[in-house]
Amino acid sequence: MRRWLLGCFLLLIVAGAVWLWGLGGADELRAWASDGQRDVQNAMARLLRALKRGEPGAWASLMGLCFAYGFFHAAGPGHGKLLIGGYGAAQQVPVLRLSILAVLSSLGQAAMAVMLVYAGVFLLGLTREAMTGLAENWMEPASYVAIALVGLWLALRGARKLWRQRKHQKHHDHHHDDDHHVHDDGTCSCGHKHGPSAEEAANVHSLRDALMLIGAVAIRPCTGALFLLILTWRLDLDWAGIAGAFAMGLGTASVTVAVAVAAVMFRTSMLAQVGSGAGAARLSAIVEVAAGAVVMLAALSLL
Amino acid sequence: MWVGMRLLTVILACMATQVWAHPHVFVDTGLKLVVSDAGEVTGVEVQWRYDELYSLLILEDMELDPDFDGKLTEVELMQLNGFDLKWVKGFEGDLYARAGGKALSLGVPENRGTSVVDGQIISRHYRTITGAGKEVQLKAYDPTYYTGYDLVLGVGLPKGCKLSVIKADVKAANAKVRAILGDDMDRLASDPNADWPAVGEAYADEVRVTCGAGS
Repeated sequence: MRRWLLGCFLLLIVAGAVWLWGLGGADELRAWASDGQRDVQNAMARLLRALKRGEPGAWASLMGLCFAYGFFHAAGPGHGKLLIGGYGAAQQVPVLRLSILAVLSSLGQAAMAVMLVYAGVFLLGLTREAMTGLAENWMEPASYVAIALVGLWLALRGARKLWRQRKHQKHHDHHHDDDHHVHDDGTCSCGHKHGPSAEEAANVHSLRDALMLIGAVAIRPCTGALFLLILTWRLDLDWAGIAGAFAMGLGTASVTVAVAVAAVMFRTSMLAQVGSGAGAARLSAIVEVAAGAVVMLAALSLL
Repeated sequence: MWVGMRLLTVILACMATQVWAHPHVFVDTGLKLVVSDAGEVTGVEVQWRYDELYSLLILEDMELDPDFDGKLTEVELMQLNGFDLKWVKGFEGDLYARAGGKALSLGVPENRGTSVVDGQIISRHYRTITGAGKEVQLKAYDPTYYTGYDLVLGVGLPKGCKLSVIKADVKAANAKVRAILGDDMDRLASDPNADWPAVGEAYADEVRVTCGAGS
């Protein structure tokens, strides 16, 4: 069983390496880390145009870009606490529970972004035609996207207030001390949270807690997803935007899952060496060398 | 055994220490200075090349380029021409000039044409500069840093002028953002009523031009 798991892990590492250097993933990685936002925006624009032109492969490439965007956004600055917390505390946290929570909260976040944009579209009665012309009054670049985003943020802020009030209510009712630090931890400059921390996962004991945690993450969608959704709505590519938002969500979830799995795997392999299974130990050593090499090369390619 | 773990930890820790301030619209910028016979700086032609996503937004908004090939017809180009020159009050054109320690006033923009190359909109406009004398310092930036102006299209100068570019101290700018925002990053990003600090200038390169020196 252990050997099978390690084999799987090795396969994952090889797949990662193939993506990084065989399929141009390293370029994407570097692009994202250095001049990230600009290059992602340019790539996204190119893919959206390709999609409108009906070019084959445009859909898959867009989904790949969205996934990578989510992945690197979550792996990027601001998530250190989350990642290292998850990594360090992995011994106490069941990896499966953390993974499931990560995936569900990220998908919930994507769903929330979709709901916000389309609720805005529906409630404000904005048609594609009605939106045209907003940008004619030049205030600053991206005026109408900014306007749309401000509208969304307003809605979001209201929702957050409601959410906080509910949280406070709960605290008063039960006289709990353990604040989940939902708003202080694991957030990035885009003002949202990408996943549950290991500590939070460890505190999840009931379905209700789980839903609270997922909801707290989901309620704050990523600006990138909102941006994509508004643009695809304008371009009449609604489904590409919705699928892209979920691809971003899976990308962010994969970071938490990867870290959790890696932590558990390293621990398992250590135990294997202390034990007698020579084959498993050798395999685990190979796994670690491979993992170390991939991570190191990926990091170097960012320089 | 531990090498892999330590490596992973170090890399994760490194990834966490960068600061994440970035613009949302990217404009490659070029400046071309106009100088009188007497060697006084009288005006500047500004070239803006918008990033592809913003260009797509504009083109889609104006219902241009329906075949999405990133090229416009003559008629479409005429429609697009001057799209970014209807400035509202308070918008300074994101270009700031100083001389002798004083801020100079720049004239209203004169349209110098718009083109589209590979899906990127490129526009040009000209602005007069008053009171510059033989030297001027220029900075292209959006005070809110929502738009990032990058001087990659170069600075053009007539003969007899000298140029020096003082690069922005990005580390200092990041530190400034960190100092202002602190733990408030979250609140600022999600609260539209909160004022985003005017950090744009801190990220801007300074262009120093001196003309007719020594003549």
